[in-house]
Amino acid sequence: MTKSLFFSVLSQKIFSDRIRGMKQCVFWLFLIFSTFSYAHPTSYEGGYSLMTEMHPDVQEISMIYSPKYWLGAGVVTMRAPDRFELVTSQIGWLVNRWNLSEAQGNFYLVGGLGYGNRLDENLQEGAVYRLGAQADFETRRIYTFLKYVEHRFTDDGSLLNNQLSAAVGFAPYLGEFDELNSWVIFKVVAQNEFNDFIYLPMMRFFYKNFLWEIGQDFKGNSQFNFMVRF
Amino acid sequence: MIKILLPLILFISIQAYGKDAVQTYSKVATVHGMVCAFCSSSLEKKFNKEKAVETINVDLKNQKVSVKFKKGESLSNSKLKKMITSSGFKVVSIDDFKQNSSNKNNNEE
Repeated sequence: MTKSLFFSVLSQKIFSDRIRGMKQCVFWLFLIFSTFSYAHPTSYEGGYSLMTEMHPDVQEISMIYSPKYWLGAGVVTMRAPDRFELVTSQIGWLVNRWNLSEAQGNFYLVGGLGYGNRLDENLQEGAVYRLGAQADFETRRIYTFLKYVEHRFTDDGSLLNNQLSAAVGFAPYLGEFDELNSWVIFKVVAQNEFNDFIYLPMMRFFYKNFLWEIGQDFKGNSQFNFMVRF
Repeated sequence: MIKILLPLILFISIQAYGKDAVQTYSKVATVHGMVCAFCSSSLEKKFNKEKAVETINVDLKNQKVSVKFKKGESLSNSKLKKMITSSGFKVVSIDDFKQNSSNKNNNEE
């Protein structure tokens, strides 16, 4: 009951019809940061990343600390109304990074243990493990991203949730370090055993260590993400 | 006369050698992997915490990180390289720039 209450309150606070007033929206937007498509399992050395995903189909919050730029550790919580909710630890490992002239590529693995439960008619709950992989390659002009993550119950290995995300983007102009940078991003998310798809065109902006995205999926659901590293 | 000139010449030589050995006040590193300001902001944070650093400038177009030191301060090339690589980037080369001359010593890494 406590777990359900926690997720219920969290979902209501973050993305819900019960959020009243612009003041509360602004407060939570500044308090909880993230990006739906720019979430990296690690941050810079000694840095923290507090990330959220705010979409009607699924909400996710994760907090990651990186003692090294290739290692991240933290907690992830996810909720999909009427489908599932979970909270897990996460260890992220930057397996390899390719630092090229005018390009960078990354490959990550993630894993963790936690607790999850279904919110549909099955009502299964118990310990879950999280496994996933993520890769990205970008230049100053082009961005590509691919991520797969799944959660399974430890007792019987049955699937609680899985999600495959892919994104491409381009920069209409090349901004310098101390200028506003803009990107046009198109992302596709397949979830719920690939039965549900979200198609999400977005505009991404970042200035130094602030990043924000705005977009709307093909069902008319708007999305706004904000991220800052500190 | 020689007794006066010899120490004077010696003194001037030592001063000239000392000038060549003056600490450098800025360094410019060529860095690979810096493709966006958001990713590179970690460099600014890291270097601004360093006491010897006065300013840092990240040039994404030319793939350069310029570090200007406070007067009398400096960081070794190995320390500089370590700070950049521990941020997740690759250092290709580091150039030293001295304050009072245009001498430029290339140090290939």
